[in-house]
Amino acid sequence: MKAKSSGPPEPQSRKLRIIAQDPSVHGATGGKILTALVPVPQEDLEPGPHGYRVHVIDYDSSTETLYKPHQIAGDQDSFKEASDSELLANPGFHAQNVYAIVMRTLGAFEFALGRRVSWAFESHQLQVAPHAFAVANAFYSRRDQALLFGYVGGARDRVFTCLSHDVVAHETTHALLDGLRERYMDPSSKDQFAFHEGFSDVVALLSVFALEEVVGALLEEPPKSKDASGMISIAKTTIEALENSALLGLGEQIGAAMPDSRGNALRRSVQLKPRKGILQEEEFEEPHRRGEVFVAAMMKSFVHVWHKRISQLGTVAAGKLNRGRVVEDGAKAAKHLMTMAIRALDYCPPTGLTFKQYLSALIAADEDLQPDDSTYGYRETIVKQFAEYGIDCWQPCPWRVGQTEQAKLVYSRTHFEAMQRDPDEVFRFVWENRATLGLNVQAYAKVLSVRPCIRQGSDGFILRETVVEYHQILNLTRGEVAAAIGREIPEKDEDKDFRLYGGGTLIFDEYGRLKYHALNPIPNHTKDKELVAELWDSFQPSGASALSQLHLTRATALPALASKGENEW
Amino acid sequence: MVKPTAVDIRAYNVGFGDCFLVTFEYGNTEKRSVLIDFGSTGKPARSPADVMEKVAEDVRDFVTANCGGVLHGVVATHRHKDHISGFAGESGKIIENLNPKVVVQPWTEDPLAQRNAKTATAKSGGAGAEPKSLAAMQNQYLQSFAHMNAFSASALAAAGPRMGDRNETKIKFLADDNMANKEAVERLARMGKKGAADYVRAGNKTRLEKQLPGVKIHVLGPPDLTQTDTILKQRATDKTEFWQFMQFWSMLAAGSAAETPEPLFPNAAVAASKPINTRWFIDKADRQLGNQLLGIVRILDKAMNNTSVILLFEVGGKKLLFPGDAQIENWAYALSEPKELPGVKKLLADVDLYKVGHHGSRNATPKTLWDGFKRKSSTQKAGRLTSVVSTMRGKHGDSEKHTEVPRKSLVEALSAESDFHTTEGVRDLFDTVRVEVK
Repeated sequence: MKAKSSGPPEPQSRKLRIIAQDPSVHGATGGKILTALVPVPQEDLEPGPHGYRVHVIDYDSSTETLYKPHQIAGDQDSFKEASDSELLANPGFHAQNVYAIVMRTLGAFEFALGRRVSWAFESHQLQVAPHAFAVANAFYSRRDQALLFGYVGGARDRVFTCLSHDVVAHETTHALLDGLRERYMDPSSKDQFAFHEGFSDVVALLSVFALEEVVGALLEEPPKSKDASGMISIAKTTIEALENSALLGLGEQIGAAMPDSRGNALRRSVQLKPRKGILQEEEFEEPHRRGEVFVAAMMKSFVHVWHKRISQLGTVAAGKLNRGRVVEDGAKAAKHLMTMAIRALDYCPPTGLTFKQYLSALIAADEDLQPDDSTYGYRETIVKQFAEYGIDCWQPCPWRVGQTEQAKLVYSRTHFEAMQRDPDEVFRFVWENRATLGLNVQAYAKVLSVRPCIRQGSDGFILRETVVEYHQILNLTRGEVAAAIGREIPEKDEDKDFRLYGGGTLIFDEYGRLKYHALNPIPNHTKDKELVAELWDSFQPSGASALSQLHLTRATALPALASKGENEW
Repeated sequence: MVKPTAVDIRAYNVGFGDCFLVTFEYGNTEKRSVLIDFGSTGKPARSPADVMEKVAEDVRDFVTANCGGVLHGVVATHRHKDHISGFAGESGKIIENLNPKVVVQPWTEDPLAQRNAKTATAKSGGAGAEPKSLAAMQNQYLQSFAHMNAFSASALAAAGPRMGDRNETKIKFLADDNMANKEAVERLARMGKKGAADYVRAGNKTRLEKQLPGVKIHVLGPPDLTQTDTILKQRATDKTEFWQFMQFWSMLAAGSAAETPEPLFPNAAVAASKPINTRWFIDKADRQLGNQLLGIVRILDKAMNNTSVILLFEVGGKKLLFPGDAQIENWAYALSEPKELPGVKKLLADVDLYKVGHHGSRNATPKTLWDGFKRKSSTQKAGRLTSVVSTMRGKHGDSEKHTEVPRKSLVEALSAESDFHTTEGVRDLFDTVRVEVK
């Protein structure tokens, strides 16, 4: 960093140009690919771009070509005047596009959580390949410490997954979620894997809607000229109209460009008729279909909150609203909802997550930070939308530590300062309080992380809290599993390494007192026979390629006609 | 010569592949034969290089001696190399000279439908356009098989050790099996044109029946998209998934049309060398490419298997089931007991002889089907189920992942509960299984 003796402080961020959604989304005027300038943290980059969290390596395995690393030129907006064909034909721009979207998504997580967020692997720098191979797939791979984006099609109809904002944000979210909750990719509750997919969709979509450029392009009654801020009829801003123009509109545009089901995921989510029993239907047992239910509840919440904000705007002419304000409110609602959705992760248990638990964590986290929700009613809206899909919320949240429990906790054997950073110290606290916290002493236990974080309270003061994650593993023998599920274990499953997981998230307040304990205990295999049987039946050997396979199957497989598991040998 | 009195099945040992000569005996007076599949992707150990010709010659000699020199039918269940490679080359010529009277293939092989599909698809705006009707969708579906063949060819060319040794071997095996077998495909079409060509879907009649007096032939698969759609409707799944499926293949094929892939950005600067800090990643990316290609050839291999013709021969009271390589998705239609296949459940329950699907793989003998077989028995007795598998170990799948072919647990069940015959270890050219008809 250059030393500066005087003048204004060096800016903390710089703006980089990205494709706002994907090359199929064009601006209202001129018909060029819609782009946007987005702020990313200021840093001195090596060519790549190669920065403190991201290393873009433009290696194409299908042609065995390594492109020259791209150097971002200072603060210049080098691609401002670039034609569409220049944007598509310049790998340097593609490298900048992925770098900026990954950093922007990381930024959204750090903003919401009030601390740095680590990757799930032993490196600070995530490797990103914008043109990894000629395959219509894009995925995060923990083992490879990387995001890999494929491309597909011939010279005339080529599709680059690295140029789709939602795809890049989706994969980055998988990586970030994995960094925060490393056990969420394990075989577990039906909801958990679906959550990985659904949550990544939600963050990706809200990240796209947080760009006013995109919201503006999707809304009806586009302004006649570039400068006119324009007006929009109230009739075009009803909940139904917004669902059709914004949600469905985006879904169709994504779907048209990609031989992949992401666009359809959004489109289908929005079209999912709310019904209480939907998660019990067979079709929604599959992780990606199940994830769509989660996406539906969140995206409908977005539209409802946006509409609520719009309804508080004054008219600028009879039956007309200021279009710019409607757009701005859409982007704001998306940004706020995204922050809420991410912040909720700190309040989620480290294993066995269910949709209900996530929803309850989201509401509890927001209550802590924004006790007054009366202006736009975010919480009320979200709870209502989830309820429509049969996902209820715990109110009050049983994970808040009550007075009785508080009185039993022993703090005197641990030290306040060490409790904010030292996993061994925190483990001592957990062990000393094992009865109160419900630790399973038969199982292996480990504190996975101790994360001090800083947040601004509703009164403007700074809150220092500590978030701790610990998990427990119980290895069962074949005999124990057989006894628990009440049937013999076939030979092919002999070498299944069957484990039961449990664990908790602890949040300590600014005085070091435990205020919140999200616990999913290890199922009791002698009592909870049904649950163990369900886990056993849904058990798939976990692999780092699980996400890649899930994405590939989403894109390539014909719909399942029969449930395979019970029909295979 | 009204009713057959026995059926002889010659299961040729072609290594990894299928080849069955099914002969219907009408007392001592006459015999009529049908050749069901003729292909191989892995010749048996210690076999002569021209084993396929030897098989063809044996078929010719048998038919000449017993059936008046006439081959009454050929069934090519689907276009995989391990089912049709014998119809190419010298061995193919020998079969063609027997002038088969009827050639049965799945509806997906109908040259007319394929030609129509090509024009219809081009007219409706190419592969990128979402099909509006089921018929249009069906056309694109047919096109997707050509795309799969094209992709297989490029995957076979690309596979190399940098993708990981296991990936390389597996990609090569599957891609090779899924290449377009042009010569064999053309010969099958030609033979059909000369005799009678039946391109069938579930519920169809076949003219093969007329060639085999006293034999009833039920076509139980493959379903066409209209039939598949009836199952899908019960599950409320979006039609778009079909479109996606087709679009995926057409785009992959478009990208892989060129034999040597061209650089994506011909005008962009390429790094002169691989910097040290990129080497680890490049190695990983190459392996991931291998994983992706393998994942894709597996999916297309399965799609191709699911075009298999499933035939059930009813001879007197006996029922013989030949399902090709049909996997669960193909079986799902018949097993859903659709109106077009009345009484199918009872027919299947009564099966006396079962040609084990897909060389004994884990997902081509649906448990629902197996559990329904009434004649299974743990003791040897008259009327017990007979099973025949043509297979070869160590070619397909992975025992660590429980995907090995033949699947151990399936072979155990077959040996325990049926009179089990396998071509593995057969030293002669073939093994014969006889079914007496009362």
